Amino acid sequence: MKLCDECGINQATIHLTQIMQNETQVSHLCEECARKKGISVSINDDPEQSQIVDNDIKIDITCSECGCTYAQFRAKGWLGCSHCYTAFEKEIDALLTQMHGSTVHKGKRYTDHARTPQALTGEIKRLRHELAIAIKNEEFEQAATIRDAIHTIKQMGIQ
Amino acid sequence: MTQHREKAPTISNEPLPIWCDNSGPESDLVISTRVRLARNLSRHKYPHFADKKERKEIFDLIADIFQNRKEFHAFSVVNCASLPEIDQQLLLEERLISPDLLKMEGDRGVAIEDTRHTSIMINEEDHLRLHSIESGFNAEDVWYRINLVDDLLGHYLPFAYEARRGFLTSCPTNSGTGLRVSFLLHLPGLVLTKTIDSVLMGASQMGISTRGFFGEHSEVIGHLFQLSNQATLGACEEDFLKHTRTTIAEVINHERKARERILEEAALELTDKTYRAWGILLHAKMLTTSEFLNLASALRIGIDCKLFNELTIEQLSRLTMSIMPAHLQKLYGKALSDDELQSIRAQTVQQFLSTLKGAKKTRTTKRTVKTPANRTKKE
Repeated sequence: MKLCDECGINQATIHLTQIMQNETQVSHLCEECARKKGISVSINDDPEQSQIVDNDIKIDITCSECGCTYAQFRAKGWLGCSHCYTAFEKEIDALLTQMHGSTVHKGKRYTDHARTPQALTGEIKRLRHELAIAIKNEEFEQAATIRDAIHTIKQMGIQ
Repeated sequence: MTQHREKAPTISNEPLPIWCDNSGPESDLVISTRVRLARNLSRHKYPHFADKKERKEIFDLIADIFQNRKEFHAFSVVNCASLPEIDQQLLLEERLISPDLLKMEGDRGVAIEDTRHTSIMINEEDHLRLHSIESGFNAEDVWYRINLVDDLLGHYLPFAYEARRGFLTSCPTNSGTGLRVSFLLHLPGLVLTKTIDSVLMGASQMGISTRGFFGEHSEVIGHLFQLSNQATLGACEEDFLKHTRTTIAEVINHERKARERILEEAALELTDKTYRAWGILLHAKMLTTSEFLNLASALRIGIDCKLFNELTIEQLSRLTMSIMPAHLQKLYGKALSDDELQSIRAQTVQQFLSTLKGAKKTRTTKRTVKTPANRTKKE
């Protein structure tokens, strides 16, 4: 990972390409030094126009974990690692809104204690109880669905 | 090119893949329902960015769970890196893996459950792609099954997850739930009545995208369309399933109405189309997969509309699976060039169809003998 050309302390996450009189100059800066130099770190979302801020200055952001740059992501469509979501937070959120109309997850919650084999044994018991009720009420379609669910869990080796 | 005179292979009687055995609800129109969940491991680079060594590490870590945890005893792991190309293609034709998995390099593969309902791809675009598939219009059962596998895997593997953005994926189009429910639909009625574009446009406005037979970037052949939800973030899994299901039910309704209209206004034309397809299949000397699928589509709608009874849907599905390139080469026992494949395919189809015709004739004769009128005559 490259260090900032200016301060030499922080990691360079902004890569600046300046084209002056047909000569290309590349400098690697940390976000703080880039701001000091008056370079805006916001990114244009249009891939064609991407990273062109003004005066032929191109900037890019790099994920400090995997080295994936925002330009790479826009060109290929793949992020490098989970940290990219933090590194390109503002840009990704804009994309998520555009793609899904939302940036907030409302689905399944993942915890380290996702359904365990033990919890599934409990679930079989609950399903067996529901099955008995469905049969008693002559809800046979419902009973068949529950029976299939029990079968699915049992297929996973859980009794 | 010279015609192949070797004996065409006989089609096996092995059970059909679950998704095309026509056992599910509304399977005359909805070939299959598939639910996919995209998951990644939190402390690893995503497959496209990980180097060979890291991809191996990821593959081994995941494969170990399937090989050594008793909950996954029904799964076996296949590493595509050491699998002959023909076997890779077989998995693809059985829809147990995606074309994108084969484009990846190094250790990548799939854990397949013995009933072949569920398969988990390792190191495709995401570290894990959990799939479950079922015949017909059946999202609830498929979701129940894949959700269970996801819970158990999540117990052993640290998934990349944020409370706000949900499950994190290599491409943000899948973030959140990582859920995609896709229905493979046979829609010849909408194509023949030229209403397909407007129906698919309507579905697209409801957030449903259309793809071809083999998913992303594949073309539509044999009037087979794969319809699935576009958004994966901002609602819970059950709501995405319900919404997609409702929209697909509308599409099914349009297809049924289109078929009714054809039967009212152009039954003869449709019968003609079906029998022409039958004629080509009986006599062609070369057949490509797409040509076969297009002709099979004409037979399928003929059978569905009860205009044609020379073969059953089950027989047609069996024939379709057998003539796919890798299946045919496996059946034939050696690798074939494109031209050879086309020729062998035509011969295989003819051999299968003529056996049916023979069987049908025998059955008809037997029935004639058994008629009461006949018996009276003999007596």
